[in-house]
Amino acid sequence: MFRSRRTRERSADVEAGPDAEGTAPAAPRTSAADLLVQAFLALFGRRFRTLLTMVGISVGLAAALATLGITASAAGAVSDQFDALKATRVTVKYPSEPVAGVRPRPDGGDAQRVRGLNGVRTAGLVSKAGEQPVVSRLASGGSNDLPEGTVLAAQPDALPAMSAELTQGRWFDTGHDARRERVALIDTAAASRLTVDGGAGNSVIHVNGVAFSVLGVFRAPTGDTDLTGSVVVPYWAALQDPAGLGFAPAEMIIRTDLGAADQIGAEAPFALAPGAPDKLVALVPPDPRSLRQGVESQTRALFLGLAAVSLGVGALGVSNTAYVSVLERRSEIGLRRALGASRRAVAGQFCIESGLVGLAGGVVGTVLGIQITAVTCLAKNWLVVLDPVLTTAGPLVGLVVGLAAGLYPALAAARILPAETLRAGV
Amino acid sequence: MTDPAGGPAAGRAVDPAAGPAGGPALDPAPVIEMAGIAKTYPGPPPVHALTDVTLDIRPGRLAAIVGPSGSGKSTLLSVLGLLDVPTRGRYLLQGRDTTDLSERARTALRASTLGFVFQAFHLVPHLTCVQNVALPLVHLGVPRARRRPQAVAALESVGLGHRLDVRPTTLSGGERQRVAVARAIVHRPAVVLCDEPTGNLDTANSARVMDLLTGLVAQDRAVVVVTHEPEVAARADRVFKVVDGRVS
Repeated sequence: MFRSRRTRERSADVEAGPDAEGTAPAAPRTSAADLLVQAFLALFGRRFRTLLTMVGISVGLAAALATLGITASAAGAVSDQFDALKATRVTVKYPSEPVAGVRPRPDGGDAQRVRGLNGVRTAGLVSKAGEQPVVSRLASGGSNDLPEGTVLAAQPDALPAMSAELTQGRWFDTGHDARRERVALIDTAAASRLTVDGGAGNSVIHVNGVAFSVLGVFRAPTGDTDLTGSVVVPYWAALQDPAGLGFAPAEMIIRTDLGAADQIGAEAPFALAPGAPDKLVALVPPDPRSLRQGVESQTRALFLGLAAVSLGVGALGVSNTAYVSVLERRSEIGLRRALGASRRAVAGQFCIESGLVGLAGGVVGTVLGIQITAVTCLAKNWLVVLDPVLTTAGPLVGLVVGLAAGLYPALAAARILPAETLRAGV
Repeated sequence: MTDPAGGPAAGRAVDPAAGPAGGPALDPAPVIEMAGIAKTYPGPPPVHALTDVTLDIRPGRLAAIVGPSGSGKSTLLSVLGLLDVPTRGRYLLQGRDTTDLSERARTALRASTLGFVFQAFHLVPHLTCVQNVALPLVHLGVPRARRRPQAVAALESVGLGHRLDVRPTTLSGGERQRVAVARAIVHRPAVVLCDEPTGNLDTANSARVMDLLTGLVAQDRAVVVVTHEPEVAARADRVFKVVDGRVS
């Protein structure tokens, strides 16, 4: 380059004029690598400011990644809880009228048929009283001590299948059912309303005036509306109905192994009513995968909005700093233009500066975001759920945000006229 | 227009590079030729910064542009430096008509043919001296390996070979202006344009910078100096006086 220019000079000296006319030298091109070096030197020369600007992007991105990571991990943990309770429970509903040999309230032998299925842990029949019972400590004429309460008739295995936990006393067993004993189990909420302490057979409650001895007290699983505040009597009561409660059609409650619910839901009607499986309705839990996605997408939308706002604030910081920098460096810009930098080269250098800040901020922000997610999950004892794509996307988003934020200042820099910034006294 | 100070130039050493082709020229062709140049800034009211300026400057000469403030000196220097486009007239730089060049072509011609020295030095504060001096080479696209040796040579020629890798902010005013001179000559331009190069310097440093500029003239370059100072103008081969946008 240098030598060829000298040659040109020499020929101009000799031939002076006409020849050279119209043969303007090729426009000098500041290479991209040189612009990168110049941008880096400029950023390094203002280390402190560069660092502060970078922090703006980092905080935005760290917030974005941490919210995404923590949301995903929390949703993972939430759906794990759901899994344990709901994903392994299958309910088979009996028809309301006898049809094709299938009765609304079958005898107790039905549970035995599903227990034999592979993947079933336990199963039992439950039937809910159709009428609102009057439950009282007194034999007759007493007030209803459990106005919101329900009465369920259940086989002994149905309560564990419904995830009820015994807190006092004992469960009733098949013997109580077979002997048609008037015994009952009550939920902790009902126990406190009825002031029953669940001692072995010491307490008696009256359901529609019929006395039942309380064998034990159980705790209903959180959110179970059927069991909470309920009185549970042996299943024979649903068949005989000694207290006139008008029991509803029965349900077979089946507790399955994890992941077996769908299969059991398909098989159970055949096991229970081989002649008319279509008369039974099996309710299976939603697929845990779709459940998790549902939880994540709801929370994620909210947090993504927040993350976008924080990133936007970071981008404003970059843009602002870059613009101030352009104003401060007017003479440098004018000088570079005078020395041969094209408008494009000037704009390019400033864009690269903002892009580098964005990229550095993106890298730091990504690392920070992952750290915050990891530490939070450690504290909460959650499994870290973080899309690996985010670790690449974080720095890239930083770069793009930096470039976008630097665009206007870069264009402003390209518009600066060298003649105006280089005059004596400026 | 002929150069009345042609005599002293004849005795000066000529750039050896020009030797084989041109030999010692007694009256070299002008490197700068202006004819009927006018520059009007659109109003209202329109400002006629330059009116019908005609001049030429030959290689190996030191030309001074003097005149009161607001007379149009800076505009003339901007037009000479291809930083501003005249409204009318013809401007030939090294025989090439610049009037109708595109901005890209003007930038290219400016980068390869001209060097600049400013009153305010305009050194980039975050770059070292050698990086500052190499800037014209960066924007000219000179291969990286050749930049530092050229920049070092330029700094050595202004007596700053010991200050290569320091920031200009640590230098005195005189030293900074010498760095600026090194930057102006690192790519060996045919013309060096100086806007009040000694305006911010004391007498001793002014003399030193002027010695450097005179030395460039000895290398067969044309040096144009805009100045207020009579001592600087006194060293010029030719003085152009600008009054109300007219050159006499």
